[in-house]
Formats: sequence, structure tokens, C-alpha cells
Amino acid sequence: MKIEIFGSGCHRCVQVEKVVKGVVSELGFPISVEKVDDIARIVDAGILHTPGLRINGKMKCSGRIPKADDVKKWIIEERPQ
Amino acid sequence: MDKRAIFAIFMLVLIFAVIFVYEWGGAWKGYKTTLEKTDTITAELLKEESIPIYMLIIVTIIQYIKQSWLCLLLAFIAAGALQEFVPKDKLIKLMGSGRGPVPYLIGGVGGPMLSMCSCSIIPIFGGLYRRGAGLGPSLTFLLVAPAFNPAAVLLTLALLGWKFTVARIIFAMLAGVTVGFITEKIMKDKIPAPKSIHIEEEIPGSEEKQGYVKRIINMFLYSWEFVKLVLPLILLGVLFAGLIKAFLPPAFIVKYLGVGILPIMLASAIGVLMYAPSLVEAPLVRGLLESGMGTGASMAHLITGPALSLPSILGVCKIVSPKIPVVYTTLMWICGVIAGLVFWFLVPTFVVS
Repeated sequence: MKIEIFGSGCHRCVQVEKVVKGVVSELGFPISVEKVDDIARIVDAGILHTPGLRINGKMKCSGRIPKADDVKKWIIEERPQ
Repeated sequence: MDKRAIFAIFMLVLIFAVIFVYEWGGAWKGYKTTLEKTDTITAELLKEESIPIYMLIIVTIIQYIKQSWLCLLLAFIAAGALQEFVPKDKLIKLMGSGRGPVPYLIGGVGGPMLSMCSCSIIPIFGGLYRRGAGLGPSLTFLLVAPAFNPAAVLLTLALLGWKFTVARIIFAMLAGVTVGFITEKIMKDKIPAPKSIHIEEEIPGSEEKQGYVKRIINMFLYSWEFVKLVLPLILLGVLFAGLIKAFLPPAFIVKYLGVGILPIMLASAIGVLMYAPSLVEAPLVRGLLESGMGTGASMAHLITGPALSLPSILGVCKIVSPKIPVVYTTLMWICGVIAGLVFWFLVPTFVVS
């Protein structure tokens, strides 16, 4: 399972990373979390509003800081059975 | 037009109305406006020659904060309202469609509605360009958005007065549209069409309809987020202004950034290259003005400073061919010089009453 956080390093993007890392350590199964701060890659991914969050290549939210509960729900939805 | 948009416009008009009544209503009745009131403090202090340097810094900080807190408060609320109520995706779609002047207009006027944080402007620029919005309108957006967002406008109004504010908005719009248009004309045949991208839409249903009470709460939450993001930067800018007033000898500023064409050209060039977080430019320019910077040089710096910086130019290079930043940077520098000269002609001196 792969989570990507897109953001060029501003305050909001750091917040998203914090929220996601918190949830991941709480859930405790193997998930790779990658912070993408290269602008070319952010644009290639089709993200307009940073921060963006993608789980297993699926766009989950952009332009806002998601709540921990939402992130947990998304991860559980995407978890391979 | 849907209810969301009407509500957003209503909120903005209300906010601006309050400011104008506060700033100008006071002036009509013969009261001193905030600008005049607080300026007398430093003017009096500066008469006493023996005040220690640290006092000058502290007084500057207190004075600037006293002068701008109300405008800043409104700016934060306006920022929250924009974030919550402006249908961003619709604006972006509008920019991508159509030919002629319409995309430029949306790039210039709608730009400020799309982004509050300067670091998120480059991804939006990249997205617009790749989605086929055209190089010109995308550039207009990139160049106008940082100069013309409500927070920057309100802070300029609080610290530099209405002349600077009005001129800044008009020049920034004109410069953005002109530079975007000319760059597209020059580069049209020289660059390959952008590689279009697959756009991932957000999963529908993740943003369910919410009631107005909930949305207004959201608005204030965004405002608070914005406060946390921007307030430290503004304080940094104010501190810099204090340091400039305390340590940079006025003679030095007058020589290099004073009155004349060369200072305007220099100020415009510094604005192009220097990275300053958004909103820092207003207190910075105020500090420089008080130490002897010319009005023309200040305006040139206000036009190029927030719109361009070396990091932003390098970021854009990753998305488009590096020739494009070279062209628009040069054009923007020229626009800064022209704006500086015109403003210098119209408003030759900065009046601190």
C-alpha cells in the first residue's frame, strides 16, 4: 500500500504529512508514505491545489487538510483484503 | 450562478464596505485616520536624538501592528471566505475554455480568488497550462495572483495608504495581462504544445452539501489556519522594517533606492530576484520609504517583488521550457520600471504626517 502526499513544503502540506503519519503508526500495518515536493511531479500528477493526498494512486483529497478519521477510513477502504 | 457564489460575493462586498467606511468615513468627519494617528508617535520619538536603537525597533513594530491589526483581521476573514465559498474548480474550467480576452480577465481577476498561499501558485499555474488554458492566461494568473490577493491589498492599505493600494492593483493587473499576452505572442511558434495530463478528479461525495452554519464555521477555521500560516511572516517583515530603520543609514537608501530612474530600475530588479514570503513586502517597503526610498522605486518593487522570485522562476522552469521564464522575467522587469516611473510622476513623495 502506498500513500503519496503532494506539497511544495508549506505549512499546510506539513500538517497533512503529520496527520497521515499519525494514522499510519496507529494502524500499524505496512504502508509506504512518500512526501512529493518536486513541482514537476505534483503537476504531472494532475494536482491543482496543494496539499494533495493519493492512496494507491487514487486521489483522495486536495487543497485541504483532511481529518485523521477520514484518512483512516480511506486507508481501510484501500487495504487489500 | 449558484448560491455559494452569491454568498461569497456578498461577504466580500460587506468586508470591503466596512474597511472603506472605517478608513474614509473617519477622514470625512475630520477625524484622523489610523494612518495619521499612529505616525505621530514615531515622528515625536525621532525628534529626540538620543533614543537607543532597540527602542526604535520596538516602536516600529508596535506602530505597524497598531496600524494594521484591523485590516489584517478583515484580511484573515476574507481569506477564509474565499477558501470556503469560491468554486475554484469552476473558475479553473472557465479559464481553460474560450479564446480571446476572457481567459486573461479570469486569470487576472480570478487569480486572487484561487490561491492564498504563494507556494501553491506554481502547481495551479502548471495545472492550468497543461490543461490547455494557454500560456498567456496561465502566466497572467502566475504574475497577478500574489500581488492582488485580499490580504496583500488590505495590508498595503493599512501600511502604505490608498494611493499605493489602488496603483498597485491597477499596475499589477496591467503588467500581468500585458506580460502574459506578449510572452504568448513571442513564444507561440518556438515551443512545443504542452504535454497534456490525465486529470484525477476528487472522488465525488467526499464533499457533501453542508448547511450555511457549518460552512461559516469552516470559513473561520480556514481563517485561523491562515492566521497561523501568515502571521509569523508578517511579524518577520515588520521586524525587518524595524531593523532597516535602525541600521541602514538613510543616506545609503537615498543613494541607491531614492529618487530617479536608476533607483527604480534597481528596485525593480531586486523585486524580480529576491524571495520574500507574500505579505512581507508591505511592511518592508514602508520601512524603506520612511528611511528615504523613492515612491517610484517602492512601486516598482511592489509590482515585481511578490510576483517573481528566483525560487519561483526555477520552479516554473521545471514545468515549461526555460526560455519562457527568461522572456517573462525581462518583460516583468520592464513593466516594474514603467509602473515605478508613472507612480513617481503621479505621487512624487510619501507623506508621513
